[in-house]
Amino acid sequence: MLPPIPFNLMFKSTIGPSSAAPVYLRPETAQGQFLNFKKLLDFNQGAMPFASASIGKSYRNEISPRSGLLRVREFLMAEVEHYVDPNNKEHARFPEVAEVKLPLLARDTQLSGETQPTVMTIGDAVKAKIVDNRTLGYFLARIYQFLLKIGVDESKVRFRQHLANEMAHYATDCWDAELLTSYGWVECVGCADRSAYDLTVHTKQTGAQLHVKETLTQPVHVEEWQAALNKKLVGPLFKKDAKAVQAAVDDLDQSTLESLAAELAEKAVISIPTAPLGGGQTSVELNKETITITKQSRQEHYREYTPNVIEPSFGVGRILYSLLEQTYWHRPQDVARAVSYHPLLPTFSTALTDVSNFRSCLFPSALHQSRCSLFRCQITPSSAP
Amino acid sequence: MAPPMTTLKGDKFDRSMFESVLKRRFFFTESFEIYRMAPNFKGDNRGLFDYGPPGCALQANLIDLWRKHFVLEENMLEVDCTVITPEAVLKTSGHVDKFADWMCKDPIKGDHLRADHLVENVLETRLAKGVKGLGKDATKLSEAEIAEYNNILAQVGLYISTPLHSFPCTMVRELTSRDDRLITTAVKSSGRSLNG
Repeated sequence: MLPPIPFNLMFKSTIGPSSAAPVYLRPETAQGQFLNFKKLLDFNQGAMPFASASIGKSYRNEISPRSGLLRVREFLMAEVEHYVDPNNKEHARFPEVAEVKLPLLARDTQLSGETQPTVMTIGDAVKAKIVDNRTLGYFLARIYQFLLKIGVDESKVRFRQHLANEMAHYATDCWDAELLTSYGWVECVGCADRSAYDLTVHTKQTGAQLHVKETLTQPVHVEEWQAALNKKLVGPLFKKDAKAVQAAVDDLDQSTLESLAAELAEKAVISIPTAPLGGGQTSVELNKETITITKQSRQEHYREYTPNVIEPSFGVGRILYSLLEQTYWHRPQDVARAVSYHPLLPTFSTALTDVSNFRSCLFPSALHQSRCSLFRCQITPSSAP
Repeated sequence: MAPPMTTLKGDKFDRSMFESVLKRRFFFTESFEIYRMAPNFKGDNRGLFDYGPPGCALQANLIDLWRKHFVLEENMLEVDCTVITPEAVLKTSGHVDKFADWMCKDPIKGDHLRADHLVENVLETRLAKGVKGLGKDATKLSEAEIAEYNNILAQVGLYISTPLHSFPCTMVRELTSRDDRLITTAVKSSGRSLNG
């Protein structure tokens, strides 16, 4: 065996006749949604918070897939990206779900070696800070309601929080809805707080403004340090490097500016670190003539921020497979003839069993019948109980 | 460890029986099956599946319900974007650099194995036999080693989807450089998070 090497899981190809234009098959539907953020926000008339959603195929070039329908290289995903103000992760509809009880397996519980989830209301879980905020909590409850609605067995579902070393490169918190199958607990829905990571990096790369401009009802009085270069002197002084010097000055934060202002007043000259310049040096010296640092005050009528993203991500194939396992049964003496019924699939239940003999198995309860009508599935006269 | 799976009625769950029903009733099948079964077929169709009529019906109903439960109920803005994505986008998002699993190559057989599967296979075989090493070089495992192996096994599945720098490469190197031609087929599933 050779030492381990990293293997990228994306399928690579090229677009058009030029091999110089590499493309990948997407590994998640999320990026397409992020890239359209500005258009979505405009479509929503600038109102926050809001969510986008997408259903589509994604692709991952798994090294050696072995678990049947659970680990596949081409799969259907349904993803929600909920954009929320990082300073206010409340959710207007949280009170509607606050009393929903969820089986939660928190990070601390796992680290103490426990595997038994704690059943508690999502309201209490958020209050106790087990679930970070109300928006995340709201979606966990909605995911749970969805899973029960499609027929998942209440005793075979749990929500497990990711350990710190388990999270993807962009995530700050993540909970998986796991369904029990013969392969063990299987992650079927992931609910991650992706913070502002994606929108920030795409903004930085493209210059497109993927952020929210909020009009303030009360204008805010802002005092901040500002550095200004004397362009007439800086241009001839640094020539080609002038741009890099400007960028370095723009990057300085408030506390640095404050100390630099004091230093400039005292020594009349300051040194600022820059990106490598033409001559190889990585800092420049600026004096009182070339730079001025002053405290300025102004009225702000807008607030700009990059939203955080809460992402519930559904693996459709995994949910289907786990659901089929959980709704499968057979009669004790008749192992070869399997019986399975499913609320989503009454018309096809006949494919699995002999309806005339097993009517009661197919439609065992009034609840089940109401589900059938909910799903617009016909109960034919011959198969109705 | 997860509790054992049971059927809806609480009986023991027999996966081979269950899968044979799903395949017989054409819920799904492996893609390109007749090519895979054909003589001299060279290729890899693992991880690719086609859904038959009941599978499609179930999937369509599930998607329909999902759309009602989430998109319509919450006034979400649905979009449909392309699968084909230019490299620059995924470079920026971090996927080009970080969306990778650790892999080991067997230079003799030409097989590729996920590094965490390899660790699992080797350690599980050692634990089952109670020894490490092969033939007369085999030495009995100490209590401490058994505890350490169990501890690693409990966590190794998590490493695969972690930032790459934290994968225990030294351990894999240590395991792969010596005895172990014991690599059997593992069935354990672990891996990368859905959120991508």
